[in-house]
Amino acid sequence: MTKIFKYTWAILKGMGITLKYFFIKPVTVQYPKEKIKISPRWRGTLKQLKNEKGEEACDGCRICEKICPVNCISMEVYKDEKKNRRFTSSYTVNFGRCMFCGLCVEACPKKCLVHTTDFEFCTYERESLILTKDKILR
Amino acid sequence: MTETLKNTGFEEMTLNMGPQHPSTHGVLHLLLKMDGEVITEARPDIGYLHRGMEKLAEKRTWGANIALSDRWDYIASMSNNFAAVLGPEKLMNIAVPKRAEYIRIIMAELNRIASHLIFFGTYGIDIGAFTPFFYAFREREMILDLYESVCGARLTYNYFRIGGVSADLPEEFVPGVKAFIKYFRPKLKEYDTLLSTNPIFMDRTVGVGAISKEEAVDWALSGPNIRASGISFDIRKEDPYSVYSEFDFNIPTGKNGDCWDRYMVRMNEMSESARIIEQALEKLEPGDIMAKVAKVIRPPAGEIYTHVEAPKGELGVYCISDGSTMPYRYKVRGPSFVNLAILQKMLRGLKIADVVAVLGSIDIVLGEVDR
Ligand code: SF4
Ligand code: SF4
Repeated sequence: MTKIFKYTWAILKGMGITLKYFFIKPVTVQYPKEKIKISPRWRGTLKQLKNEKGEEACDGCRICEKICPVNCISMEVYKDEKKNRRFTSSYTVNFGRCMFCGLCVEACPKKCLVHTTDFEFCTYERESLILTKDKILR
Repeated sequence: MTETLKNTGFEEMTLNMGPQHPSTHGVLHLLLKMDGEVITEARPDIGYLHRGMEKLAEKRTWGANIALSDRWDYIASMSNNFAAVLGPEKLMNIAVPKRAEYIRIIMAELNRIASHLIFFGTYGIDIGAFTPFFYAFREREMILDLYESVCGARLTYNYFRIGGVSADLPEEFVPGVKAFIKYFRPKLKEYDTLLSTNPIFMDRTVGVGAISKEEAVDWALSGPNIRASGISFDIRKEDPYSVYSEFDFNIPTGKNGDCWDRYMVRMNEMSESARIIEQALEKLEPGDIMAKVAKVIRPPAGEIYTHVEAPKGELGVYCISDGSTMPYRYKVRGPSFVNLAILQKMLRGLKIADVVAVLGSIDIVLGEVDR
């Protein structure tokens, strides 16, 4: 008998705590309608920046390609004799493989490869996870 | 098993528990031989989450291995990062700047709280109390927010670097941690009311699955599991790495080594971690966060074993370098893997209803068991 009393009392005490939280604002976020604030350091999809002249800043040094632990970056490089620098003719990132570790961004010597704060990139096909240069250079 | 039962055809039954059972914390498969309700033999069957981490590591550079280490124990990635950087740092004799050391410790201890919160929440569910889960995850979410502001990820942090950490703390981090600790302390009392001292919870855990001191040593347990048996073994004290020797903290231990003791040790550890964080915040001074390290990391040839006190126990990395950019051998001693082995001993003779209570109390993460 005392046992039943003890159990009930414990449950009531627990309920008391729950009740306390019943009256304060909920902490959950109603996701598609509301969104939480993403930190600016968020490691989302990759993006290449342009330089101040409006042309691509990346000079195809291939450092990001080499450092990536899962080999998801691939590029083709050519040399522009007139401008006397290298350019990439293609730059592809396979986000199906990417684990968003940020090593490529950290290693880029031109600081032209950056993360976006974008985290919603679900698709129906795997192919659309492979982003080519026109989508990455923004 | 009585003879009558055998003769009438009621023999031992084999029961497969998992790998899709919600209480096996991932994909653990338990093969249980049962005599009625009593377990006569238990065999954990692992490997459903095997990704070949050790072999992968041999084909990745030392720096990239930190990113892979996030995936061992995915709810305590900071501790994994810690273990992954200590080895090459020792081989290369890198002196990590003071600020980086303190940042590392703050991160590791916050991660301990986060990991134990998951334990607290899921253990409640295992036993049948659902409410603690929500409260535990609410608090854990705050830690993840702090992590997000520092390194940009909520689960796979990849924050440590050989020689320091990847980024300095943002402005809002230190006040954020202080506010969190202030908020978190009273919550621990609440948890005690909700679960720890609840008589129903205690009935199901006190005296269940006791591990004696000798057994704990024989089975090479580590972390909260061995401390619950009354052995004060903590790598932060036994073999202090980083700057842990500067901090003043206690090692909570249990007495009987039963499920409740293992649970209580973790609860007490959370407040100790909070103490360490407070001390580390005080010592934090502006300064460098990275030592001067060459871009391409080539530790000199040699072998080394380094270990850290991860939330689950002793997480050790034994690496052999042949002087190239990639490790020659990379062996990970996962605490969950070693702690899981004692299950076959503990479960024998228990009732089927206690399996979940015992399994939950040793707190495994399958990502680290299988690697
Ligand atoms: S974030 Fe990591 S995995 Fe993704 S492309 Fe960069 S280096 Fe590769
Ligand atoms: S590291 Fe930077 S500059 Fe070099 S190829 Fe990659 S994106 Fe271009």
